[in-house]
Amino acid sequence: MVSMVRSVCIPFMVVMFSTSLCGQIPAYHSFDAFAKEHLERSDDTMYLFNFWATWCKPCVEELPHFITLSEKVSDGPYKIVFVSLDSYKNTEKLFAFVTEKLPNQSVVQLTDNKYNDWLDKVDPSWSGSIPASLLQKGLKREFHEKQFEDFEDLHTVWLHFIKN
Amino acid sequence: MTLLLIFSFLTFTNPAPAPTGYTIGDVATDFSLKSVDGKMYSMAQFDKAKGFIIVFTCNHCPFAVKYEDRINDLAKMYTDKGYILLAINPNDPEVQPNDGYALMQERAKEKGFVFPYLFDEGQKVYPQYGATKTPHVFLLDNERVVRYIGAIDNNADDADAVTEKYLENAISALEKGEKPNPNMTKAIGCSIKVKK
Repeated sequence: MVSMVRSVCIPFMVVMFSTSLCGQIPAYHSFDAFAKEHLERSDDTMYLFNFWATWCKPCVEELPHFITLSEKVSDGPYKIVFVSLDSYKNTEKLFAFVTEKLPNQSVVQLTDNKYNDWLDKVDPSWSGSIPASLLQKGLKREFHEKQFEDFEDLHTVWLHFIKN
Repeated sequence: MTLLLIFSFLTFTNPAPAPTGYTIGDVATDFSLKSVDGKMYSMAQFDKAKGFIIVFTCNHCPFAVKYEDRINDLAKMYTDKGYILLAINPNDPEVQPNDGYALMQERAKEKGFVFPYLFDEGQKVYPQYGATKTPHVFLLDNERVVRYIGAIDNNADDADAVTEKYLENAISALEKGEKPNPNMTKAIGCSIKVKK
């Protein structure tokens, strides 16, 4: 049987909510390219970038909490982006994982391994461990180098960020 | 330490943990930890050492595994020059069973580690250093002053594509009586495994 095109087809949703792509996982080989497209925002959308990798157990454990969050959020435009730090050598594995576990989510792959050049640009306090999450709305940013223990933990942080 | 923890829980605006551990210029603590050979190791045993390369590393983390051979090579390269490499596994095996003592012994044997691979019993040493991930390196001089903290080099994936050998450059600087520059670098690694 001819295998279908290796793509994750996700329905295009209203622009208010997370838009997704019908195709492969966008990969950024340079952090600056990723930042230009995703971090340099001035609109009113609430962004949550979760830095993770398939090989990172605590990262994988907390993914469901973000999915729950995406289902529960009701106030204002928002976008949750899962930024995988899987190596370019691991793209196949990442694709299989995302197809199964994050089928309706916005996922990108950031393969720039010159970490010393860009970790600080995400947040100067980031020591380099994952999982880590960046909340951003307009010019306001908040960074959490931690694993969210449960949905409540994540939800509390989300709500607090929005209200302040 | 406890006060810092309480304080960090109270600061709701930015719940990131208050930075703890050493920075450049601090005097690092000695320790007495068991290695895979069954013996206890302390820096004090190496009274002629010119410096110490303390590497927090472990079995399970793919980033640490990528550096295993390089860590072994560094130990081979620098022991004769007076820099003692001591690897410390900071993880709790109850959280990550692959980082248990018996498996550490297996890995050391399988890869022919030439350095002491120590188990941070009770996980008391890594927080004093402020290690946050594996691998995480602290280069100390002969007075146990911290002179470099961070990554071994700038390419975890590919040893042949390394363009900056941060740790080796830092040791060269010490040899010349100079300050390592950069003295702190960042890299991705696995968080240290502690019980919640």
